[in-house]
Amino acid sequence: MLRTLALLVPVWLLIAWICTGCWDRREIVDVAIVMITGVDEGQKPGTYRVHAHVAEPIQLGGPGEAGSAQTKKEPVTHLVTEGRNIDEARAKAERMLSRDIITSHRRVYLIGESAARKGMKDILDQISRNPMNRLSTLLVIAENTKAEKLMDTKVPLETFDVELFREFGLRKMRLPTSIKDYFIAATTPGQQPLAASFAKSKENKIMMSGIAIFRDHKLEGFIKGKEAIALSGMLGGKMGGSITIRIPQVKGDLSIHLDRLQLRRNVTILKGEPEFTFEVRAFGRVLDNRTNLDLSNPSIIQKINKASSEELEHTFKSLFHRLQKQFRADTTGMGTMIYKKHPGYWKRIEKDWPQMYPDQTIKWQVRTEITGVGSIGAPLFIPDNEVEK
Amino acid sequence: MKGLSSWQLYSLLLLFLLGTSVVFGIASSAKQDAWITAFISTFLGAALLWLYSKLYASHADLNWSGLLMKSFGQLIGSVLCLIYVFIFIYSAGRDLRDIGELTNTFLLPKTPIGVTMVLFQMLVSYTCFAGVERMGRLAELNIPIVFVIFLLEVILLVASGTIHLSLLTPIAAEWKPILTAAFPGNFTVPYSEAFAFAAFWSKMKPPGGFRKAAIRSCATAGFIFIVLDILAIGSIGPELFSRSFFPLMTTFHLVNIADFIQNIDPFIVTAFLIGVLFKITIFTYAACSMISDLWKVNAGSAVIPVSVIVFLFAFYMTESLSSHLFTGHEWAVWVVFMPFFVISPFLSLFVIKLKQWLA
Amino acid sequence: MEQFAEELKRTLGSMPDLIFRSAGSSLIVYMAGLADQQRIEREIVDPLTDNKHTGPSVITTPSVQLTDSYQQTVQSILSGMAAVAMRGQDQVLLANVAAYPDRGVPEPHVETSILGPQEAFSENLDTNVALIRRITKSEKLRMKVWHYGSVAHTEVRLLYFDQVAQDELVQEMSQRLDRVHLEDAFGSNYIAESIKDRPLSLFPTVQKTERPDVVANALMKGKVAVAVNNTPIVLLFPFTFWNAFETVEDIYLSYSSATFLRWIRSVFILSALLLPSLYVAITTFHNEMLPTNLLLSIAASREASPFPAFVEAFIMESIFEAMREAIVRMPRVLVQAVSVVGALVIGQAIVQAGIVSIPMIIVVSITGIASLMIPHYETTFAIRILRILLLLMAGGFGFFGIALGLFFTQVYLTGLRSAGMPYLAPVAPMLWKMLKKLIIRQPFERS
Repeated sequence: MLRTLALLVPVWLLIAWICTGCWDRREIVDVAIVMITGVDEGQKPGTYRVHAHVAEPIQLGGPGEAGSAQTKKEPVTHLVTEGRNIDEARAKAERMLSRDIITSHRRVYLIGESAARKGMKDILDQISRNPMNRLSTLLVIAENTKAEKLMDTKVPLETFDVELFREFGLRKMRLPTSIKDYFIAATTPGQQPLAASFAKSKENKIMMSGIAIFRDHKLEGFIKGKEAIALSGMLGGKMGGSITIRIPQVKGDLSIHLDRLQLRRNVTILKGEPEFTFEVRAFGRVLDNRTNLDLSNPSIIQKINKASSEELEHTFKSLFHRLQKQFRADTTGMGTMIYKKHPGYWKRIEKDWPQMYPDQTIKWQVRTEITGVGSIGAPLFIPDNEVEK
Repeated sequence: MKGLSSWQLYSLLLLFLLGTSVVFGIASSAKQDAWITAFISTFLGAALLWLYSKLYASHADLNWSGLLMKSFGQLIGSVLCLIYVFIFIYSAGRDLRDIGELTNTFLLPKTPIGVTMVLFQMLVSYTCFAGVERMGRLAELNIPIVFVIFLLEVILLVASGTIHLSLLTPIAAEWKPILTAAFPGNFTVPYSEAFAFAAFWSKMKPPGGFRKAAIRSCATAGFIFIVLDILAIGSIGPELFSRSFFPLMTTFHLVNIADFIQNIDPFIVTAFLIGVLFKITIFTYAACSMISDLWKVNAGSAVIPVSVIVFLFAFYMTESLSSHLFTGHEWAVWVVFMPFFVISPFLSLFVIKLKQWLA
Repeated sequence: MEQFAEELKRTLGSMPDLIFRSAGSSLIVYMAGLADQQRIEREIVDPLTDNKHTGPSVITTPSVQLTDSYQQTVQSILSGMAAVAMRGQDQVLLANVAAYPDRGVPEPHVETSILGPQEAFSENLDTNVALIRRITKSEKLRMKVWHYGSVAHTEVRLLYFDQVAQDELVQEMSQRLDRVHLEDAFGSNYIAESIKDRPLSLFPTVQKTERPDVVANALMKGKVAVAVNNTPIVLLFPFTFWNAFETVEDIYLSYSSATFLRWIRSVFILSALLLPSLYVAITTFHNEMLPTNLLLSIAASREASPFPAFVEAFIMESIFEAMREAIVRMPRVLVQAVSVVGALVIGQAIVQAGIVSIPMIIVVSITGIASLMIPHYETTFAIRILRILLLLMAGGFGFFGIALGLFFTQVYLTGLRSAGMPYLAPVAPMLWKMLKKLIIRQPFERS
């Protein structure tokens, strides 16, 4: 009897299988793959405008084709909807497509500056709740433009726009700018999140413009230029730029490219007040020598070290000035330092920290080391008698 | 060849203990100190299992049903046996619901949860039907797979560069959440659930071997839990760890190697299925075993009715994932696990020892 | 004596190949074709005609037997012996002058080897056993004999090494062979099915081989062999799951090559089982798992195809299986033609017509190649059938279905036994010493 019952199992399975119609079966051709989403403020106040790029595989070349050499057009469809919140906009988008939207390949979430300034809270939950979304999606801000315009700009060298954002975020800058980082920063006591920001350059190309600073889920402002390099170095990212230094009594200036930053931060509680000490060791190379100095001379290198340390310290101080006084956002996690090192003390001052933060002073100890000057010492085009040794 | 070898028993116990805990993570309420909780509860769990083996050793030829009757008398013992049957069925149903919810969330969102659970329960019935020896062999087959997957998980996470150990600080800032998470939380689940083995331990191995296997599997499971907790907290941070329903799933979601291996959650869920399968199978078999001891029928013939009841329990237990998790973490601990898996065996041992001393 | 002749004529019928020859005062009966006529002339007829006094000792045939059983005489004539009836004697002399037509020692055509011996069994049981004896000159080799079938009267021998094979194993197999009742046992498969542990099981529990070196090797390891007359296949017991992963080439290759091949083989066999189901599961249920670029290329190829992935898989699998079977059955000369047709039809035309997408072709081809790597022919059927079942489960329930299918298989496998030995040993139950032999091909001990 039991044998027959056992044989019935596969039969039952077969029946169940046939009757089901396989609820979850979703052919690739029934799926719309969202590559990137951009969020702006909508035309009516209180609404959001959501713009999504959906990949079109057909344009990539079907079976038997070698793939066309000139894909002038980016193989995506654009989908624009508006709604009172992100999910409503998404629902409207679903009604416009013949396929199911899946966001599991969406790598970048672009938020326009004005929408970010209004507040990020309403945008954020939708991303994390649905298990289809990835926590490693990059969150970036479009500075000075609407996200829409930024997304529609054609990008050189890549098939999809989204690649540009990703490569910057992951390979070139290595900023902690994914959604996961945002959440972690937002929930760690004493830290505020940040994100990478992109802008449109004058030649209509997308450019990475700086770092967006948030406070209490609202965009406060941007850190640019040298300060952005310094900040990104502090947070463990790659520093993507160079600083220009002058050496006293020398004509011309040099450009130093900073490779990496070793940061040691320390906080001690003295007399009930925190004292911060930051030790920075920066490593860089001289990439452009617009002076007549002979860089093969170690004492000159020492002078350069000293000058760059001063320049770097100056940059850091102005960075923190901006962060503390202008934005009042504890982006670098000074509060977190206290929390981790002196949790008892942190408990007491936790509520007052936002007021205490702008008044904190940091003792800087910056040391720069030039590890390389390229392959030549003095510039090659200067006659020997003009080179300063 | 009657009975299980020590490696088989060890594998069976280990897979059972890993069971649902690798899905839900250990002690997520302790946030970044969850791994300390895991560490503490390993010792607590080992002590509990040592207690169980002492209970076993008092009458080496009896299962829990026999022991109940010895401690509390024929009549009360039988009634208690019946209650235990339902307790085991409830536990099996709970775990079945766990796997149903997990599959529903990550693998097959649109498939009705009933279908998923029915299929899984059929597999469980088939396994129960096969008997203890074959279960042992099945455990042996799957243990290398689980070890390899565990290693892969560690390697993949580390290689993705997602781990920042600084997220584990401040270490042990507050002791209260750590301790409350350890007792009764992590202590009962999963270690006290190993009591299900009591229903049929005489078929498996004599008490000495049982104790050795139990302590060893406890240590291994504890180690795995600690490592997984550290990995999870280091990747997603303490807040996300405590708020996520399935923290370890969220962690593995982050694995991204060279943009090539990514989004591996279906694979990880499949790996979890192994542990959960064993948990539900042991509970179901425990229920069948108690029934077979009570009414002198073959354990195999009780499988089908028991499975049906397990499925019904799992299906109608709670309406949503949230209430299921709440029931599991709060209610079940005090109403089910503590009294039946901790206090009762304690009491029983006490009574037996008393009777022996008086005699 | 005339009576004798008449009896014989009545039993066997007056067949043209039943020869009656008188020599002197004796009558010789034999079957032309089965008995060596030259030898009969030389060893029986000549001495009998030459010699003045007749008697059994005159005959120079080395193997002779005296009998007074009529049944045995008939059987012997049918087996190629010559029956000599002498005047005045009650008993009949049976002289073994059998010379069966057979193939000699052929080359193996199923289990080929590059570096090993190129001998295989033929249909003659004595020759086969002789081949085995030639390889292992051990005095421990023992045989037990059975005869089955009143029509075929097939001889079956159980070979084993005394004290090397476990006594229980020999006992068990003997008992099973005792219990076999077959009217006509034409081949080793009939015997195999009768003595298998679970004849209806999907997985093979007996090893069938055509090579004497494999048998000799197995005997030395303690297995038992069952040799059946008229079949060039010898059965070996017991056979575990892991034996299916070993080839005969393993012992003829160096240690590292053999181990490397063994691992690659395992990986490919696993993929032969799982690849189509994984492909269907990932592309239909879990597209998040693919890297985005790969997903887009697959999507691009699949845009043109009208069938769902799962149906495509089925179509391609069926075509591939059909091709495989056809190539085995067809006459040798047509193989070239069919492979061309196959490549053209399946490869080019189907894809360009847009019926099946390219990734599917790739998946099926790799699966096909992988399944050809399975050294044990019967296991391939188990794998193929399982593959289709897993495909069904994957089509319905994605990864969950595959996992479920694999678990069902595992539970099923734990219950199988081969000649009493658990099918999955040494992994389950875990026998640590034997485990090492499984994972690597151990280097031979240097003396």
